[in-house]
Amino acid sequence: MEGEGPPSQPLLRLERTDHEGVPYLELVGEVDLSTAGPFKLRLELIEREEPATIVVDLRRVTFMDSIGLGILLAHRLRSSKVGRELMLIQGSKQVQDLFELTGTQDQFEYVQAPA
Amino acid sequence: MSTLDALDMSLKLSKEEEAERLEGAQKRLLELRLDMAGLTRKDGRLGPPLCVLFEGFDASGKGGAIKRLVASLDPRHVRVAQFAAPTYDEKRHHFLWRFGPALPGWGGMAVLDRSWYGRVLVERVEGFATVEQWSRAYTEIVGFERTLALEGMLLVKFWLHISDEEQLKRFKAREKDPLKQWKLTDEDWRNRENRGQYEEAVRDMLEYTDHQHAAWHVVEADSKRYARVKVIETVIAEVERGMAARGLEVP
Repeated sequence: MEGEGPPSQPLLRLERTDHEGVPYLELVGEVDLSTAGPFKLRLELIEREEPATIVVDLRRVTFMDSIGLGILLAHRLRSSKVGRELMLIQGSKQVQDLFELTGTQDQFEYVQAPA
Repeated sequence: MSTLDALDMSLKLSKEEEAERLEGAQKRLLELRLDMAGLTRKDGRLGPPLCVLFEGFDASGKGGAIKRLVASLDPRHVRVAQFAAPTYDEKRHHFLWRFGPALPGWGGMAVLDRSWYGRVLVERVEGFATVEQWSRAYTEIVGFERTLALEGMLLVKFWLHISDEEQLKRFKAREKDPLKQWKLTDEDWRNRENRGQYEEAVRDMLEYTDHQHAAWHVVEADSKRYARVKVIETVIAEVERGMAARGLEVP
């Protein structure tokens, strides 16, 4: 829709940036069943560029459930098969708890947020 | 659904075989159509809404396939709707809004010449929709189609695929034909230049919007004859399958 006012805030905004040649995907908002499709697709679009590393920034995720975790795990598995690295920037306690409760925190590597 | 890579683009039919199969198929479709409209059924029950949707590159033969599909039907029993770029007024609304009135009700049949998939094809490639908008459209479209199907609609979706070379051949032929020149615009030539991006968008569309309630049928359309026969025979098979699945006796 094209209106005069600003578009409504999406549940999940996905922002793609590049830092020193490394693609970053920042997630802002909620990752659940209703936003899983765009998240998965945007990750795949970056994959098609065949970068050596992809960083997913979870700092501004306000909610994530098993759907989001599943997408990250599936992506990590695909990446490792082709020698690509998936790195995460840690999210809030709620998000990190999800990794811990499911015993998946060691499945991922973490990086510091770029300055 | 079949992927674009697995297509055998050399499939073709002789003129005689096309004529024979089209004739048989058109007769069968008419029979099914009258039954679904409740006109030849003893119990008079209406069949499910039937919506046949066409997408395809420019000059892929959508118009010709639609013409053969509806040829045997009474104009009162089928509605064909074409969709081009949304108007200024339509753009004020949600992108699915303008398609509502074209959708068939119980006992009805509609054919859509282009559809809501414009959101993830032309609007994506040409930048008319933002990446936020088109990347969530796949989920939105599947949700929309699911609600239609759960309310009974039979949705048959076609992607008519032609090769780059065949498209160029058809464009050149259209340029020379005074009765077809109007079909070819500068925009069509511009779209050809973005073939790679369009193909990526088509692959994503086929992958992300192929679902149990509305699967894609990819048609090898370098041969118009082959494509036209495949389209109508697929519609018949889908109608028969859909009626049986809904507990309706198939005539």
